Amino acid sequence: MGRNSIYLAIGFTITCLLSGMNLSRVSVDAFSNAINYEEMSMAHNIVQAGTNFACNQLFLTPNWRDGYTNVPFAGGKFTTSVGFVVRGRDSSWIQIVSTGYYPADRPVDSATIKILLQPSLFSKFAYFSNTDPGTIVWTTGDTVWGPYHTNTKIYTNGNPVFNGKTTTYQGISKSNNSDKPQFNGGYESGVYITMPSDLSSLKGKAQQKISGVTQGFYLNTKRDFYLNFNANGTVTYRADSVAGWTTTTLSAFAGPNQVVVIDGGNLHIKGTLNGQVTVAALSNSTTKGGTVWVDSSVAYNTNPLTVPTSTDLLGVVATNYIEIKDTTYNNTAAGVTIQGALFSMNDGLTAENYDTRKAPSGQTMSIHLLGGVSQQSRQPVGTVGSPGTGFKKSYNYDTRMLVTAPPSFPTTGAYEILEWLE
Amino acid sequence: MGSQVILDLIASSLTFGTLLLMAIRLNGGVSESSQMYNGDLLVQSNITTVINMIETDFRRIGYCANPANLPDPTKAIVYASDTAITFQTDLPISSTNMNGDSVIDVVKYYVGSTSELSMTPNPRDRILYRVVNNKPPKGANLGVTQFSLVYFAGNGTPFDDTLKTPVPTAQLGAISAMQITIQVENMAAQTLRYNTAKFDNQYSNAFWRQVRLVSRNLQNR
Repeated sequence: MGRNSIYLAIGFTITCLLSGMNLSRVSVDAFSNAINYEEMSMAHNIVQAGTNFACNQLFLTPNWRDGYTNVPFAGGKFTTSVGFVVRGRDSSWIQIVSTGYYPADRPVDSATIKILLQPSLFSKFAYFSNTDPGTIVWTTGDTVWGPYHTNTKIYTNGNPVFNGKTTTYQGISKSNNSDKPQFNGGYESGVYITMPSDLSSLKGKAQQKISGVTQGFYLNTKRDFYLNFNANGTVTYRADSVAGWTTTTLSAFAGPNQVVVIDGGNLHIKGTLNGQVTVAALSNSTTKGGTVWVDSSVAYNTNPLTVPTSTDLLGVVATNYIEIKDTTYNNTAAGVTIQGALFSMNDGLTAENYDTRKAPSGQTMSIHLLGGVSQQSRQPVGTVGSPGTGFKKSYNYDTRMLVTAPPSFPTTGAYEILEWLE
Repeated sequence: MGSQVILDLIASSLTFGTLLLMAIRLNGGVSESSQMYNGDLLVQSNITTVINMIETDFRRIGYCANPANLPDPTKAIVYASDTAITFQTDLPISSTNMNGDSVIDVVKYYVGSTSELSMTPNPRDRILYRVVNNKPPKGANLGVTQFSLVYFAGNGTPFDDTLKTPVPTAQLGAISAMQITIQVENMAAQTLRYNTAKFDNQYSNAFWRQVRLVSRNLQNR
C-alpha cells in the first residue's frame, strides 16, 4: 500500500511536470514570437527615425555629409551614412543608408533603410510660378497634369482639376465659397521653393573644360544666335542673322555636358530634336539678351506620348522671356508645338504680339506644350473673344520629367527623395 | 475474509476510481490547455507571418532600384479597393538581397471567398492571395478572416482625407497613406470542456492594425 502510493504520487508528479513544461514551452514560444516582432518593429521605427533625422538635416543644410554613428534612440541606436553616388555623368545624387538596432545594449534585431535623393529640378513641374497675379484664375474646365507649385496663392474659380501633386506657399484663394478645386495628386501648403537668382551653374557647365576639352557650347555675344534641330541628330546654327549656316552633330555641338549657352544674346530655336540638350539664353550686365525665341515648332524626333521610352529631352532656359515669335510658321491653325521643359528666371512664357496676331484663316491657334513651364510669373499668350487673338493653351505633361531631366537643368537648391527602400 | 475484506475492496475501488477520474480530468484539462496554447501560438505565428509579408511589400510600393524604369510614380498604385490592392514595385532579388532587379513588378493582394475554405471548421477564414505579375495566385490558409484597407489622401481636405473605395483611377495618385487591418483566427474550433470559464470564444484570434502605413515612394515628387 505505502509503496504503491509513493509510485502513484511520483507518477502524477512526473505527468504534471511534463505537461507543465510543455505548456510553459508553448507559452514561451508565443511570448518569444511577440517579443521578436516587437523588437523588429522597434528596430524598424528607430531606423525610420534615424533616416528622417538625416533627411531633415540634409534639407536644412544641403551640404551636410556627417551622418550619425550609434546614436541612442528609444532604447536602441542608429547609424546613418550620407554620401554622393554617381549615376552616369551625374555625381550630385545622394544616398542615405541608415541602420537601426534594438535593443541598444544587446542588439539582436536590425533594420536598414536606403534612400536615394536627387537635386530637386524645376523640370519636374508641369507648372511653377514664383508670383501669380490674382487676376489670373484657374476655372472649371482647366486641368493641370503633373506637379504644380506657386510661391504665392493658387487662385480658383469653380472646380479646376489638378492631377499632379499641388503645392503652394500661401494657400488657396477661392472666388466663391462653393468652389471645389480638385486635387487628385495631393495638396500641401506652406511650401516655398526659391527661384534661382542666377544661372551661373548652367554657364559653368557650358564652359567646363576637362583635359583641355570644352564640355559644352558657350558663346558670349551681343547678337542673336540661331539654332535649328534636325531629326537626324544634327544641328544647324549660325551666330547672327546674316552669317553662314553650319551643320554638325548635336553631340559634337553641345559637348559631353549637352549644354548650349548663349551669354548676352538671344537664342532662336526650332526643329526636331533627336537627342538630349539644354539650351539657354542668358543676359549679362552689358547686353539685353537673355530671351529664347521659338521661331517655329520644337518637337522631339520620338514623341514620348506615343513612345514612352523616348530618350529625347529638351531643356529651354532663359534669363528673361521665352517668347513665341510672330512668324508665318507659328501663325497657322495647327498652332505651335513645344516639347521640352521651359524655365524663365525673370519673366515667363509669352507670345509676341499676342493681342493682335491671328491665324490667316481666322482660326484659333494653340500652344501644344508637352513638358512644363517654370517661370517668374504667368504671362499672357492670347486674349479671349470671338475670335480671340494669340494662342489658347493645350498643355500636356511629360511624365518622364518625374524621374529624369534635361541635362543640367536649373535646380531648386534642395534635394528630393527619388527612391526609398525599407 | 468476510465483511472486512468486502469493505476494503469497496473502499479501494472508490479510492482508485476517484484517482482515475482525477487523472482523466487532469489529462483532459492539460490536453485542452496545450491545444489552446498551441492554437494561440499558431494564430500568433500566422499573423506575424502575414504582417511581415504585407509590411515588406507595402513599404516598397513605388520603389524601383532604377528609378528611371518607373515612368510615373503617381501611378504606382494601379487599383485600390477596401479588400484588394494592386501596385507596382520592384521586388527583392532574394530573401538575402532586398535590392530590386530594376524590373517593375505588379503585385496584387486580395482575399478569396469563405466558400474556398469550406473544409475548415472555421466558417470565416479565407485565403489571402498574393499575385505577382499576373502569375497564378499564391495563397496559404493562414486563417485570415479579415483583410481591409482604408486609403488616405494628403489632399488638403480638413479632418477627413479618407478616399472612397474603390478609389477612382484619377485619384490613385493622391493616396499618401493607408490603414491595414488584419484578423487571423484559428482554423479549427476549440471545444472547451474543462476551461470554459477562461474563454468565451471557440476560435482563438489575433487582430492587427497598421493605422497609417506610408510608402515613402508614393508622395516623393
